[in-house]
Amino acid sequence: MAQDIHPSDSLSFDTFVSGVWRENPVFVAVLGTCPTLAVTVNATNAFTMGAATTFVLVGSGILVSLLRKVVPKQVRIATYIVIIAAFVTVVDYVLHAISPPVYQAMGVFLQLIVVNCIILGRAEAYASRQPVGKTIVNSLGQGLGFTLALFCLGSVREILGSGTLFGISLFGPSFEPWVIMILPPGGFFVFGGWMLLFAWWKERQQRRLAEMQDSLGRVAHSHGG
Amino acid sequence: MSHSASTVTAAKDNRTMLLVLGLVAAISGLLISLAYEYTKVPIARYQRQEQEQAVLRVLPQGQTSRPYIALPDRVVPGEGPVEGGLLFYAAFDAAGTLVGIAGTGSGAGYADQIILLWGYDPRCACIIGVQTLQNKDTPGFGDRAEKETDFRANFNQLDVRLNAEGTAPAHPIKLVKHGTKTEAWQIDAISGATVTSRGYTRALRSGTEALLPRVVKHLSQLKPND
Repeated sequence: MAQDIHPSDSLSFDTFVSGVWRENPVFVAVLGTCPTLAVTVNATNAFTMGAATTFVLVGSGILVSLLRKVVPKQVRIATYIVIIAAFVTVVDYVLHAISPPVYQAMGVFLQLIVVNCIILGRAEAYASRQPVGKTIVNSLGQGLGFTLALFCLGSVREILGSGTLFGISLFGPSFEPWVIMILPPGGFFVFGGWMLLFAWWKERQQRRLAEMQDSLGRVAHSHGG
Repeated sequence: MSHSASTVTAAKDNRTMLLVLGLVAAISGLLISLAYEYTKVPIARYQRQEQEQAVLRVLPQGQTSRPYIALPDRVVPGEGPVEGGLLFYAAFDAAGTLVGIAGTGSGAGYADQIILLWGYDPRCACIIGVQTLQNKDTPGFGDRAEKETDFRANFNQLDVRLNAEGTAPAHPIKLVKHGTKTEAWQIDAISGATVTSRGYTRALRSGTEALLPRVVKHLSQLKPND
């Protein structure tokens, strides 16, 4: 977590995009895996969970950042938890009022956003040390990264496990769904698959970088000779 | 001197801590109460609709429903929790005639409790519809209880007639192996989902055995409005 704190950095595109890609909370930092595995049985749930978490990330980030100079060190975690819990309660009420079926599908995991370590981690490592503007941008990036990761899992699990995407049938009535994909083991399979893809991609990038540095070195060496 | 100075600093620290905690609690409280105020009306409206729809699904001839509380010796309109009272719904047709009552029941399934809403038709003294309110059993197995037409057919006319004294069922609801149902009070199990079938049976049995002896003798007192 500590490597992403650059208090002297100014607000840049990287403040936003780092959470989506280089520091993706699910695929790179492997945080928040509990809701990631539990609610991603379909794309709608995945999307809703991502949006709810993003709201809590941004809302709590703003308050933590505003209060960062007055919150005493000894009670900071307690303070952050109270703030996060307040925003989670707000999301809970609002989602119940606007989409009761989705609210039912989220079940207890909506309230459990309170203990999602992505949010407390952001409050402690970022919002409590950075101005409001940067915190909002960074939280939005992290929230989008989380939402995308959930959507990656949710869409694959829904397509294979139910033959639908956002509830729309893709393969017609003759499709025999892989029920295991919407059960907990399916969550682990798909999660593992995506992690593998990310690891392969990262390794390929690093190999290319090393090859490039190597050839640059050779060129410099031959010129020097 | 230095001792008193550190005491003063500690007291100041404590004051700041209390102030900040108070401020954070106040802001959080304000946020929660605002969200509650703005959402309580739609949430309550949705819950009422949901309840009414569920009741009318298990009693399809009904047009309106009204909540009642069944006490050991009488029935009173209302839905607030009353100690020792059981909540049920009376459904009426367009003319205001009672078409049936709906009650809930729960029984242990494979994962968590199965909670059902059942509709009772006094003319046949039988259950004519069952709606699942909660069933967390394994998808592909447990949820067959909601889809399989063979199993659903159990609830077209499930006999829950009371004995002559009206104190207990004449024939308690019984679960039988798939394909061996011979009596109207038996439930034909789903093959491969026995635990779920047992959960359904227990839920219906406990629900009807608790509610019907209290309500059936007072059916004439149920009215669509005062």
